Amino acid sequence: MVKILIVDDEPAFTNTYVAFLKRIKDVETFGALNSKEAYALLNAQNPEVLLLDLNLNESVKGLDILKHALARNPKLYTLVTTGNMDSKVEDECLTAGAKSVIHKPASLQDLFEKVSQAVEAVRPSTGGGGL
Amino acid sequence: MQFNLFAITSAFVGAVSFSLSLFILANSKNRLHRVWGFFNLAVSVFGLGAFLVAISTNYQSAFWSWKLAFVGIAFIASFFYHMTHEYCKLTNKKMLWFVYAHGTIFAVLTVTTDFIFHEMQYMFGEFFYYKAGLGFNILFPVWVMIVGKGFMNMYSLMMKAKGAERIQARYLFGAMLLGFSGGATTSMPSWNIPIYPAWHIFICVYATVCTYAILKHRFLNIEFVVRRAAVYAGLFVFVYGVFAIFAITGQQILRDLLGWNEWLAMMPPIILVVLVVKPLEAFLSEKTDKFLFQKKYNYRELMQLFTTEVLMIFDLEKVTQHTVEALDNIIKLESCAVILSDDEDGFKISASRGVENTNVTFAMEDPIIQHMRYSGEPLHLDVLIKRPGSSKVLIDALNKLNSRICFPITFNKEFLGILSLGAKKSGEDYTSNDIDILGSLARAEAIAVKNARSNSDLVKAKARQHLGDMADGMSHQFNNRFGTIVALLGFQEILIPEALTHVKDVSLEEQNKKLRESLELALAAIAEARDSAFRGGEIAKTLLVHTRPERIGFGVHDISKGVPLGLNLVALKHTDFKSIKVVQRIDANLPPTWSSLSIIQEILLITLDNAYDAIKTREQSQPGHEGVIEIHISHKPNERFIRMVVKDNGCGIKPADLVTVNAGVPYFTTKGSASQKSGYGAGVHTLGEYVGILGGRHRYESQYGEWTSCVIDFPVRSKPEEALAPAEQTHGQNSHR
Repeated sequence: MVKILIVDDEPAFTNTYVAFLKRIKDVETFGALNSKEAYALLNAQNPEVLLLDLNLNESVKGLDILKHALARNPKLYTLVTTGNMDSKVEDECLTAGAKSVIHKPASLQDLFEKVSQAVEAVRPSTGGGGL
Repeated sequence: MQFNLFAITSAFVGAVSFSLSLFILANSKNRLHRVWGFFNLAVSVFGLGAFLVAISTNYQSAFWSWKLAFVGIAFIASFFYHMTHEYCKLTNKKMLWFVYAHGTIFAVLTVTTDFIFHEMQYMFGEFFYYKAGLGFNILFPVWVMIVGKGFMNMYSLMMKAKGAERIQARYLFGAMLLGFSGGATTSMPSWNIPIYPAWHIFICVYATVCTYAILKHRFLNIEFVVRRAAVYAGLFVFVYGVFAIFAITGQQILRDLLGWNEWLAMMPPIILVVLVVKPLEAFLSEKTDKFLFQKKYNYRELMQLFTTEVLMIFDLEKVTQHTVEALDNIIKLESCAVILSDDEDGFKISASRGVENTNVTFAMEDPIIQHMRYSGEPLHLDVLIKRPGSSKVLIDALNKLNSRICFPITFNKEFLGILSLGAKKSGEDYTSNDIDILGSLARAEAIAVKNARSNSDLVKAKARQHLGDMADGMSHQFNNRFGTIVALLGFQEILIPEALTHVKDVSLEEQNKKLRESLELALAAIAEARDSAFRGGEIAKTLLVHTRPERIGFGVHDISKGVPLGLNLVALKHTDFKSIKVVQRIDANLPPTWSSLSIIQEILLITLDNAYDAIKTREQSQPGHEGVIEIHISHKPNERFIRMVVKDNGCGIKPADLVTVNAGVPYFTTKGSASQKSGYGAGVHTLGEYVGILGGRHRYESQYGEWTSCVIDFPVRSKPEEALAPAEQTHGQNSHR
């Protein structure tokens, strides 16, 4: 079972993705609405995939969480979502160790495919999921 | 006495020429003016004689009237030639002697003998007309030759002259030719050629054209003489006329009520008039000089104006408008304009008074721009006209601006534009002292223009900077809304078909249950999507309010009106700002003050943004800390300022940092976290600049770990010139994030 942590300050967005990404085979999804919840779930669940919003509207930024999470688990497959179109931000994330940056708003199909790829990449044995 | 067309035209010729001669002679500046005045006097003598001839009913009266007219005619040629002699700066004195000798002989022979004419005939059934005698037939052709030589002199000058001088010469030549042509026809009846002698009315046209040329084209450089005399005479006649009416009325009262005889009743008004006339003349002379033709303007007043007013204005349009108005009011100018470079249209008039064509533009390549840009020297029209070989293009450019003198507006070798000053209403020339002081003022104007432009750029740059800072938040806000809508509706697109597919294979009860669940989920998704869309719309509205251009303008405002806008903006930037309690204490009846709500809004955005960060920082170290921001705006009746205090219960500022923050060090930030954007602390420096623009002062007070207050004083003022003294540094436990 692959654990996916979704971190986004928008509850509707987080809840929808927590429900939706469960459709990928053999995954377990968790949602965090702020850095505090994110740190707690990172410690408690030790997820293999992290879907992280870069701007959480708090003093702790998404980039801080990304660095913290990768420092704690360098194998963590991290996908960053952002509404910011600045290419510098994208570069910063990739430099920090994110595997991919997804610009909001993204279609469900795109996001599903990217998360599915992430799950396949971290899954110990081969297998897949689909809609 | 009888009136006829000859009488009327002659009366006009006499009156108009006499008036013109009086004006010129009374105010002449040189020999040319005096000769021109005598020329007109001679014409008026001719007009008077002809008028008397026309109204004469008996032979003898008409005979002597003709002799009077001939005295004028005799000297018309002499003075005309002398005038052209002076105008063309000729040196041949013999010719002058000759023409005056001819005029004198002509006049003397006319008066003392019957050699010029000795008989008259009744013509046109209206008046007696002289018959040309032997003397007339000898001396008049010489008279015509003298006049012809004068015209040749003028024609020669006209062909050589350039620019304005040529225009003036053309006016004089054309007007004189018209006048002489008309006047010469009056000799025709003397040779029994029946041309009615009314064409000398063209002499009036000559006088009118000359007056127009004087006023419009600075003909003979005496326009101020005529204008000044006309204004003075008008005022004098008006005031003295009113006074005279009172005197006459008084005379009647004395006669009617006290029974004084007519002569005795006249004495008090006469005594009064004699006593009052000189003081009245002096009074009018002083007043016309002071208010219409101010001769000596106050240099100190001018300098003070630029140092205390113009340099303190940061709005470019107001700088130029104020400059033009102030210069016009102090120096009393015919016209004044500030011409500034414009990125798109070259150089154009930014503000003006008395300039006929305000749409004049100059390209960078235009000679006037090139000349002023590279020489850095003023352009003086009088000097240009007098200097041989002066560029006609430069003269034309100055004329387009109705300018007498132009100064370059240059800041550190950067050519910004031109300060153009027209003629002084006093008619006086610009002296070297004037040019020195006005040159200094043009340099001060350059600083004011540069300041205003820099300020405009600064305001725009700061607005862009803040918009850029907000763009991240805005982008996040909008895309979060759209991302949520896409996720919610996209998921429903998957769930609903699935539900419809699954219900086929289950019982009706199960179908109803599944469909209800599916619809409830869909309704919840639609509600979320609607809320997201609504919030997106609110964000867009607030952004529009923030960026609406008219809000940039300065005016007299109640600064507390900027508070809601500042709160809206910071709430947009930080969606969890609503978790912080905001307490507003705003005094009722705050005095309105000269400010910009847009800048007030920016000030509040910076202070509230800092307060938010301070509270969030404290929340990290103290989970559960409840953030509070207090906004207090107050004014005490006797104070010159309105005080705005934004206090937060955040992390506070270390004392050492507070000194740096209060010193206004640019780009200093107290934020140590690597996650913070670099240079964020520039907001504090920007705050200082914004407060400075509003003439205010500010300081930070703080208790490290407990609270921070940003104290801002805005001056109470109706105009922009009154700024507050800098804030005193407070020593205490202060800090800033």
